[in-house]
Amino acid sequence: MQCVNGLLSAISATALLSATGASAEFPGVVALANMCATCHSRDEERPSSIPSLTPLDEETMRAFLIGFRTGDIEATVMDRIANALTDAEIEALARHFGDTTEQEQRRRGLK
Amino acid sequence: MTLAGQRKSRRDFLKIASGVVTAGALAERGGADINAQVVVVGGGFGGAICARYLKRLVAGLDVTLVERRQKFVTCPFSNAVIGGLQELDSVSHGFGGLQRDGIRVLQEEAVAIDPDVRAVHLAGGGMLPYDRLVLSPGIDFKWNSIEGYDETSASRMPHAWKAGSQTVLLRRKLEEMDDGGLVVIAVPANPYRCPPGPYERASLIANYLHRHKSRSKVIILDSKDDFSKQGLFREGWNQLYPGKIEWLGFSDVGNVIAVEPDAMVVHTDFEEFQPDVANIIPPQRSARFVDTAGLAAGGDWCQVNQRTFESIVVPNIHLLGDAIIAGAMPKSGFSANNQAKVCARAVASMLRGKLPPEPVLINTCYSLLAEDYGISVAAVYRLNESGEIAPVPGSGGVSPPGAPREVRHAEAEFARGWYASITADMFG
Repeated sequence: MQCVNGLLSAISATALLSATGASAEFPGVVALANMCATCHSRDEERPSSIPSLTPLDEETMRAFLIGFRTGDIEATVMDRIANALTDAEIEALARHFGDTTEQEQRRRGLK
Repeated sequence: MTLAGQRKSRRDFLKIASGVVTAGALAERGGADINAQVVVVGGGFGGAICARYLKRLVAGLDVTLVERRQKFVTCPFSNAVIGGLQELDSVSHGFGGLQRDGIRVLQEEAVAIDPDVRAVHLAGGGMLPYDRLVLSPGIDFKWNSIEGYDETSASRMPHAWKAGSQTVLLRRKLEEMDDGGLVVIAVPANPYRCPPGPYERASLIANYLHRHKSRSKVIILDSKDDFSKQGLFREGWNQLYPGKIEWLGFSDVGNVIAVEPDAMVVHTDFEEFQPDVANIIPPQRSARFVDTAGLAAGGDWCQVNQRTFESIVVPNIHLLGDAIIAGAMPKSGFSANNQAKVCARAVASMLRGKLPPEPVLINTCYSLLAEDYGISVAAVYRLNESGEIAPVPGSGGVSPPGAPREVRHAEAEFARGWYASITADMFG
């Protein structure tokens, strides 16, 4: 009986983790990601000259943010913003947008 | 006053922090629905965002937005309307998207706050009770702080610092002006709504004159000796409009002290000007509506706890945007947007008896010097040891000086992209 209970709580813990995604590991990541939406629109029906973040996978997102911070990737504004982010924030944002992209691709039956 | 404010804000902070100890460990998102009423006053860059993000954070929350206008006209890009590059419709937005989110949108004017019974009085006679109140009321002008400049004179010498009919009026006056006519823009001392706005306006008026009235020019009468993105504006003016924009700072002419709207005369401490079109941007304060609850505490601007945006004067009332002092953040639409997101999270957390997360806030202000020439200033902010919003050292800054035209062109495109995104964020 104890085993079953242990198993159940393991399952619910996993479900909770995947339901809340990266926010379970880094409490402020959704709040931080919301700030990105001020320029990077989530509205796919109205594309803007500022790229959407939804098509980016985790690795690309990480590479961009690190590249902007070091100056290895040229930017007009993102270099000035990324250099205020900590390693942990970049990592959390990469995972968060990676998750969001994956969910979006699944929703559209692309994956 | 600042010292007392800081003490109060630390006390408030402790009050919230102690709440956490007794509160359960609910998830940051998707926690239990809360049976509470939140009223948001003002449907602009702060209010619309706060209402939408609150509804996203707490699905069952009763959120009412009070806004007296049927459509919100943005100040961002209203300078492009004044310069004839676009029409007022392109900067006007309805509230249908908020209604689709389940927010009750009341087209009413909020006239007074009663903090004791926690209710907002409406011009139509109704009363809205609240558990938490969020105000993003914007600015009012300090009429007659420039002698002779009041609501009546604003029809002859538009301020166009609240977008809408004033925007159209200033544009019409420019269109009616003869070639060779003089445009004067009066700019107040800090702080005021949109620090780089007057200089973008001067640029886009010069752009209109360049295209239609080549013998005309613009004189800026500034109450300051330096201004936002000064080097970049001057570089652009020299390239695009040589000799067309003359900037006179406080050391040159002093303050604008009086106007004679009928004679079209503008007096400064040391000189007198006779423009054909006068754009007087008067000194400002938080919207007078906040005085009904004493939220500005006798001053011009409201002080808030910079982590929760709750008033340091009256509990359960949060304030956003141009009406507040938010540490080092400038009074911009972008600032209000980010403050609103932090505030929404704080309100949701506080209704659950939880401590809101440490905020990170961003501001980016684009300015257009021409349709294909943009510049920007950006900053990232965190709370410092005193709980005040302060820029992260080593980050932020302005566009590079002397950059090739492609960079300026790209930033003009990104300025339009930013506008599309932030208005989609606000209005859906």
